[in-house]
Order: sequence, then structure tokens, then C-alpha cells
Amino acid sequence: MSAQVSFPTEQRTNEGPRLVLVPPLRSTVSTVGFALIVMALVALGMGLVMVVTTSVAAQSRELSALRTEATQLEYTEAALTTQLQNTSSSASLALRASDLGMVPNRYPAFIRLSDGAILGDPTPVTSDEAPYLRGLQDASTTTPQVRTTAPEHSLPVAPGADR
Amino acid sequence: MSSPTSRRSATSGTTRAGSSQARRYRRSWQLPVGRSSTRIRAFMVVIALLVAVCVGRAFQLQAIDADAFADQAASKMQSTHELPATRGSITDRNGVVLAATEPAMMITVDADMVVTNGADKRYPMSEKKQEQAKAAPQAVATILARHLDGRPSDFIDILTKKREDGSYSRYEVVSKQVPAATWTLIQQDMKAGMDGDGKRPWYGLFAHSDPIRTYPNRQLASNVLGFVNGEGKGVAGLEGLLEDELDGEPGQSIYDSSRYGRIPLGTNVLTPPTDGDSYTLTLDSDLQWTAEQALADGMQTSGAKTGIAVVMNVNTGEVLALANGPSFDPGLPGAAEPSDLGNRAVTDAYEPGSVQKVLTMAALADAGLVTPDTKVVVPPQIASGAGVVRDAFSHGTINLTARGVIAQSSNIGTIELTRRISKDKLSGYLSDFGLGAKPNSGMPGETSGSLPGADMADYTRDQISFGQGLSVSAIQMGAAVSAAVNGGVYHQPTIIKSGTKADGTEIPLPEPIERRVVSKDASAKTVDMMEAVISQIGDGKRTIPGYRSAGKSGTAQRFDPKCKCYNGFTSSFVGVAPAEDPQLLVYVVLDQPTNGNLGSQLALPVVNNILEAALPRYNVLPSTTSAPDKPLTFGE
Repeated sequence: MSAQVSFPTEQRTNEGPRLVLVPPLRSTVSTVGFALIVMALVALGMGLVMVVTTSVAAQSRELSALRTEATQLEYTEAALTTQLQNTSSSASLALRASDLGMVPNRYPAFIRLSDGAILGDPTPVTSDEAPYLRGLQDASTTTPQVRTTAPEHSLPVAPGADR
Repeated sequence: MSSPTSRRSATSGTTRAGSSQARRYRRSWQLPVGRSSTRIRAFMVVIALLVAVCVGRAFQLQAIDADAFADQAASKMQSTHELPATRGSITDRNGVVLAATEPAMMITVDADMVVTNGADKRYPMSEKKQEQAKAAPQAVATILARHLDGRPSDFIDILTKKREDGSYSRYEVVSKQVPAATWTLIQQDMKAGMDGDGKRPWYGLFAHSDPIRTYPNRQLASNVLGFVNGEGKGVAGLEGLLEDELDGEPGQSIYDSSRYGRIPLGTNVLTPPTDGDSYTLTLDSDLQWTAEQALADGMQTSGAKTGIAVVMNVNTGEVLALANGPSFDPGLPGAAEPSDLGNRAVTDAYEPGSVQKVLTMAALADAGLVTPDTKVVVPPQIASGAGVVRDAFSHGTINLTARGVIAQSSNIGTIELTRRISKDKLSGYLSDFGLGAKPNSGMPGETSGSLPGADMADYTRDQISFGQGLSVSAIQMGAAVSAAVNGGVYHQPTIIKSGTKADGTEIPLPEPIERRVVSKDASAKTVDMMEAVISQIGDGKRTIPGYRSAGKSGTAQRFDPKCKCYNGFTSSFVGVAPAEDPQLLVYVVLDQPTNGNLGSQLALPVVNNILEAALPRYNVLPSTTSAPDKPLTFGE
């Protein structure tokens, strides 16, 4: 800076227009106006913060309510699932089928889809099949009668012996 | 400084300026507080001290003890809530749930809160609140009775329970393992309160997680599944064996909260729980149910104390059904006999009896020493060791083919044929069939049974040929006979089909062992001999409709470890079908029957009942050929 100050005046005049001081900027807003703008901005900011905070709190409450609802629905779903599993268990279905008069058919038969041939010997049931699968108490009609053990016991039986 | 006295002093000092008294007065020592600059300095010093104290304290809080204070603050604000992991489920091969976990609650009561209906004791209760508090116990009891199946009187006592000092109890357990959905309904009724509009709610009930392990099929396969204890930990069966895998890892929720609930935008760290692994078994629940019913029927008919039924896929070793009787309800294990809580099919070893002859014949056939038509002259008895062995049926010298030996279940004929093979070879074959070693089926408590080694005595070789002097478990025997009939390949029996982690990834399972034990030809010869048991003995009453089947009975004297003697019988029967290409095996063991002892009469009907249900279920087409009628005896 000090080197520039020592330059001769003519030289500077020849080099370009003379430098003049820039006049101070005139404020276009009065002090009161400026204060009002600042207050307005602050009020706006505060308002926005309030809106955001309120919104966050409301959403948080909503989130909490939805979480509770989701949990309760999960509980309901779990209870219904258990109920469904109980109802569809093998024992429940068999009992229900038996109540409807259904009887297991011990005579297998298949239809071959390629030519419609029937494999096996389809035989109608006589309603006394597999009573043990139908919750019926009296199984004596279908299960083989057990022989008495007298003949075996009267004979010296080798260990592991069998007939 | 601003007192009237000092003001007067200052005034008199001004009016008497220049006098000696005044000079003396001025010389006297006094605080120069009258000057503004001094006041300002003093004020600044005080402010500076205050600021210094504040800065010092701030420095202490922020820099020196920052962590301790931050922790203290956080602990006051932060709540930590454990998120329990859901225990993995166990399903059958078709996805039918055998064991699952349902969210449930343990409901507790603060009796003190019930009788005051949550009123703040620091203040006297208004008349209205007193009226409300008086009605509370009965109202809460009515709500509980409505949802927990009971009468209000069942709950009144616990809701108004007093401690020894006469004050009301602050914690009593009302009910355990209440389905969470039921707790939700109880909560709703409590919130609805006295008038049903939610303005005057009821207080005093609390709940925390207490999940229920559900077994929707009740006692189905309970001996395989096992059960969990009161704390939800698996203690028996697969529940116990796979406890660490099924259990899962609990998660955690850490959040900032105030008395008004969670603080929005505060700390909110959620570590989700890792649910337990889930397993799919090889069991088929419908077939399992059929097997259990058939076994129960067989036990009732035979008067057997216990029974086992095993259904296996002979070509894979998969256990399709495994029934134990008597069984138990896994939801109420305490109600059962402790001896019925295990899985006898894998834990109990017994002498297999004549079913063993199947393995003996398969080994002899593979060694090239026997064909179904090999001729054997069977004397009335045969010397073995220090004694003699007879057949179960009295006879003179008879001529049987090897097929006839199996069909008639001749001990003597089997011994004669077995004496053709060396002891080490016989022991090796039986070892390859899986005898004498734990089968590693994936079920806990397996027995390895016992198998004499190559150094066995001659009479031991005679004994084990017809199923005495060695012991097996039902699962071992099922796997061994499967190998003898499926073309000669042993497949390690398996009960776990697959496992899945909570994130869906598959759990690697050990590859089941498989090995060839006998040739395909030897296996076919064995089935040939076994088919005669069904088709050529018993006047056609041993057959099942639609299919050719093969089998072998076993009636073993039962070794009683208490007296170290033989006491009672173990009746068994193994059946395979269809005989022309065996697919399924059913093995039934009835222990200590009282209405007879023959496996062919007691266990065979159970085997046939199960086979009749199982074969069409697995789409096994009916046999198109009749069972051949082949020689059981030969002429002179």
C-alpha cells in the first residue's frame, strides 16, 4: 500500500479515471422497518418451529397408536391361527369326518389319467371299517380275536421262538 | 452505602471543606464506594467471580465428570425394554404345525391399587371416588371371569389379598399364559371402566410376556417333540435337544421417555430380537395320527404295557411316523407317568426275536450261502452250547427250504444255516446294518443297543441268528430291515427334514449316511422269503387289500434287568409293501402283552392297519400281480 501512495499524480491521471470515494449506501429500510422485519422473521421461525414440533408430537402419538394397534392385531392373528391349527388337527378332522358319517376305505383304487384305467379293485365300505380311527369303543368286530396262550405255555419254548 | 447516615456524612464533608476537622474526617479510613468507577469495578469483580464459578462448574460438568453426569441424566430419562424372541416352530413334512409359540401374558394384580382404584393416597378421596373404589374389586373380578372362564368369586380373593401386616398386597399372580388377545380384551374392558364410556376406568391389573408353547395336535408325536418347562425352555425330546436353536436371541428397545410417554426425536434404539430357528420333520402328521390310533388299538387288544410303531420310507430312511404308547399331552407333561415322557423307540433296547432272522438271511444270501430254495433238514432240536434250542412248534425232523425256515420261523433251521457263515462276517454284516451303534437319527437319548463282536462264542452266534443275545432299538431295527429289503442299501434314519433360520436361510444338516450292506440280489431273495410269511402262512388272513406285502414276526422273551432273567414277552412284526418293490416299512413292537404273545397275532394287525392307510396315501399303486406260491418244504 505504501508503494502505491508514493506514485506521482500525473502518472496516475494518465493511467485512467480518477478514483473517488464510494458514497455510503443509503439504507432503503428505516430502523423501525428493519426491526419489524427481524421481528416478523423471528415470529415466522418460532411459528414454524411450533408447527414442526406439534406435528412431530402428533405423528409420534399416531405412531404409538398404530404400533399398539399392530400389536393387538398380531395378538388377534396369533389367537386365530392357534384356533385354526386346533380345528385342522388330524384328530379334530377325523372326528368331524366320523360325525359326518365318513368311513376310511381300506380298498385302494386309482384312476390313471392318461388312459382312464382303474388300478385296484374299488370296493364300497360296509361302515364297520377301522373303528379305532373313528373314536368308536367297540373294536372287537374288526380286530382279530386273540388266541389264548395255553398251547405256547404248555410247550418248552426256545428263547426268541415264534410262529 | 445508600443509608441515610452515610448520605449525611458525605454532605457534612462538603460543607466543611478546608477545616481541620474535615481534613481529619477525610483522612479517616473509609471505603471509596461512593465513586461510580469503584462501584463498577466492584460489580465487575462480583460478576467475574460469578462467571468464573459458572465456567468452573460448566468445565467440571462438561470436561471432568461429563460421562458420569451424562450417564446419570440418560439413566433418568432412558427406558430399556426387552423384546422377547419368538421360539421357532416345529412342523411336519407337509407344513402342519406340531409345535408353535403363541404370544401370551402373565396377569398380575396390585390389590392395593384395585381397592383404591388407583386413587392418589396423598389426598382424601372424594365421595364419587370412594364409591368407585368400593365397586372396583367386584367389577375387575367380573371382567376377569368374563375372559378367563370362571366366576367372579374365583377372583375376588386374589384381588383383595392382604399381606401379613394387614396392608393390601402389591403383587399377586392372577393367571399365567393368558393368550395376548384375551389380555387385550381385558384391557379394553378395564379402560371402558365403570360407566363403559372410558371416563372412569378400572386400575390394578398388569401383564408381562409369558408365551405359550402350543401343540395344536395335542399328544400327536409328543414323544418325539418333547415339551417345554414352565419357563418355556425345552427339556425333553426335540424341544430339549434343539433348545439353543429354537430359543432365539431377545432384542432390546432403548428410548427416552418422560412421564408423558416417549420423547419424540429422543434416543430410540431398537435392536430387533432374532427369532428361533424352525424345523420341519420327516413325520407326516396324518399318518402319525393313524399309527398312534392303530397302536393304541393294538395295545388295548393285546394288553401290552407299552408299544412302539415306526413307519419308514425304506428308500430314504425318513421316519414318516413314530408312535409311542402310552403317550402324553405335551401341554400337560406333569399329568403323565414320568416313564411315558421319553421316546422308547430310540431309548429302549430289547431283544428283537425272530425279526432278526430277516437280517441273518440277508447276510447269508449276500455271502452266497443261502437262496430261498436252499434245503434244510430241521431236527426236533439242536444242541447249542451247553443246552438245546427248540422251535416254538413241536415237530420231528422236517424238510424246509430257507423260505420255509422264515415262513415257519424255525430257530433250528436258522441256526443250521447261520453256522455256514463265519462269526466275524456275521458280526460285520449286522454292524453294517446299523446294529450296535447309535443310529444318529436326530432324536435325543438314542441307545446303541448291543451287538456281540467277532470274538463271540459259538452259542452266541446261534442265539443272535434268531434274535437273542443282542439288543436293538425299534428305530435301529426299522432302518436295518429297510436296508435288507430296499435293494441292500442302509440309509441312516432321519427325523429332521430341514431347518430354517428366522431370516429364511436354510440350516445345513448333516448328510445322512448311506452304505451298501447286501447286494440287490440278496435283498430280493430276502423279500422273497418274507413274502411267504404273509402269503403262504395264515390262510390269507395276513394280507392287505390291493397290495402284496412281506413281513416277519418276532416273539422274544423279554430280558428283565431287575431280575436279570427272562420275564414276559416282546411281540413284534415288521411289514413292508409292496413286496414287488418295497416302498414303506411298518414295524410294531408290543411289550409285555397279556392277551397272548405272538407277534403274528398281536402286532401284525397293527402293521396291516397302518400299511392300509399309508400305501394309498403315498400314491403307491396297487399290485398288479399275485403273490407267488413257492415251496416251503422239499421232499426226501
